[in-house]
Amino acid sequence: MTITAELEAVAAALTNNADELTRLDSITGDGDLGTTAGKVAIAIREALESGENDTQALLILCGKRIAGTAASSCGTLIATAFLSAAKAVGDTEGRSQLAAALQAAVAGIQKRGKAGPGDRTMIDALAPAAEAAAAGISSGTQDDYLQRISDAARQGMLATQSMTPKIGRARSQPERALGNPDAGAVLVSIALTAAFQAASGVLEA
Amino acid sequence: MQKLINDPQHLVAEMLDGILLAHPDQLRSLGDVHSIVRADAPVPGKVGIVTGGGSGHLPLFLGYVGDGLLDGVAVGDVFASPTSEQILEVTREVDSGAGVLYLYGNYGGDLMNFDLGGELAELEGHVVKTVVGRDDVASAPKGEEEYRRGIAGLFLLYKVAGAKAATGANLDEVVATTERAAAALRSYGVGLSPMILPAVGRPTFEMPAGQMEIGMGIHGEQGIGREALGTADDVADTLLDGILADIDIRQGSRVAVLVNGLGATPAEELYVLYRRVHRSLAARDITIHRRWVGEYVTSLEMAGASLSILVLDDELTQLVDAPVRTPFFEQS
Repeated sequence: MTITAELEAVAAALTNNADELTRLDSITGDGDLGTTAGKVAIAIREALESGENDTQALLILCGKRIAGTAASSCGTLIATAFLSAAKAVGDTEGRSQLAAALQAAVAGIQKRGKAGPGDRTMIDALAPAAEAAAAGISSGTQDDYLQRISDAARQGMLATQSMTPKIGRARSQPERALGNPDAGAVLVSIALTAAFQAASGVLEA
Repeated sequence: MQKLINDPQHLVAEMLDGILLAHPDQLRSLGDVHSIVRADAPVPGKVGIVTGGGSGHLPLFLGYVGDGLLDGVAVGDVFASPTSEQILEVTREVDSGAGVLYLYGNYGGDLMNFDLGGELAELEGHVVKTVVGRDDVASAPKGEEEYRRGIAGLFLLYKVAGAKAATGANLDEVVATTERAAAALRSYGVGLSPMILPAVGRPTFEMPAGQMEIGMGIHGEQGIGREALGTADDVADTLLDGILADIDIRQGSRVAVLVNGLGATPAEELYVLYRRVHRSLAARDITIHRRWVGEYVTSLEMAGASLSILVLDDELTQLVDAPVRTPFFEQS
């Protein structure tokens, strides 16, 4: 099994949503998230162009490329997510592999970024997705399974609208944050939805 | 803004270019001028020591690359972290096979990028360990040392780690000694006037005449509070008392002392501070085995000073005495 189609879909979704990510990030942050998303997309495409199709090697390559091109805090955390996921995919297959990868990505980002659930960061979309992936390993069809993970990320992302920022530059502007979702959480939700749409072909956005 | 710059966007690159042109026998860059190693890196059999952080603190970080101190540095923009890619590049270049120590100050961006750079380096087979400087007693209370910032005391950690690595010690030994020094090190500073970021062009904070910020960080971070500017002796007492309240230094101890200027405070004033610190420690029967007075870790043109004290044991005494030769600092 390879994940090249999923990664291509993620790159496309990040490119297509760069302007919206910048708009959201400008509300409380420094407005560079769209730029970071664009760089991440380029890094993923470069990794795909290498022809590598082993899942673990491809995730490592993506992580390295992202680390090299997207040096912002958010880019560093996305690179970390890829590298952490890569280390976790080795021992398992199928749903267990996906659940392990998502959980490792959450753990890696939390360790490096020092944010926890509820701090209004990308964790708030990624952690619910990881939980849904772990909870649903033995139930439902594959499409249902991916849909539930995608929905969990989206619900988590929407919940950031009422969260107060605890981390980073946005912390100094709590009142401006309310009512808007966290831009990093939006990025995660967009990326996971795109990946799972590519995997199943029938996911609702 | 009264600055000798060309384009603020090019300041860091032009500064690095100048340093490389001035010291080609001691330093070389890795293509990009922001990643710099000692000219003879890697030193065979020696643990490599890598640091990095934002620009604006010279001689920190780059000035301490050389014999007896550091092997490589990843330089960021003014007050901004270097990238994990730079850190990886420098790691590759300084690793002789004996492993690499990352030694830098406790700041969020630096932590993130050094950790990721180290993770990438480990994927390539390098062995990397990290010690983070957290010497600033003003940045978090006792019991919350992990949140403390790294300030001028970093110089003393470089001194210890660099000298230890030069003895041929292995990576674990260099880490253990550096951690022991970090636990025996405290710093405390005072800010008198703001710095001006070249790309911003305005002072980064307001400081009314006759005021000072006790405990201000080296990027102008808030300290413990504003007070009326005292005499040099008053300030020296405040800084020394703050350190002695945080670390127990017994009678008869030996220490190394750094009285550091932040950029715009003249050496004359630093020596007036040193005079008071020297006499106060002597009165407590604490011996200053070695002292450095001058600009070692600056904050652009901020006025102010900091005091750092490292409590010495026999090994640390030998290590602070060891010879050093770098572009900005020599000791024989």
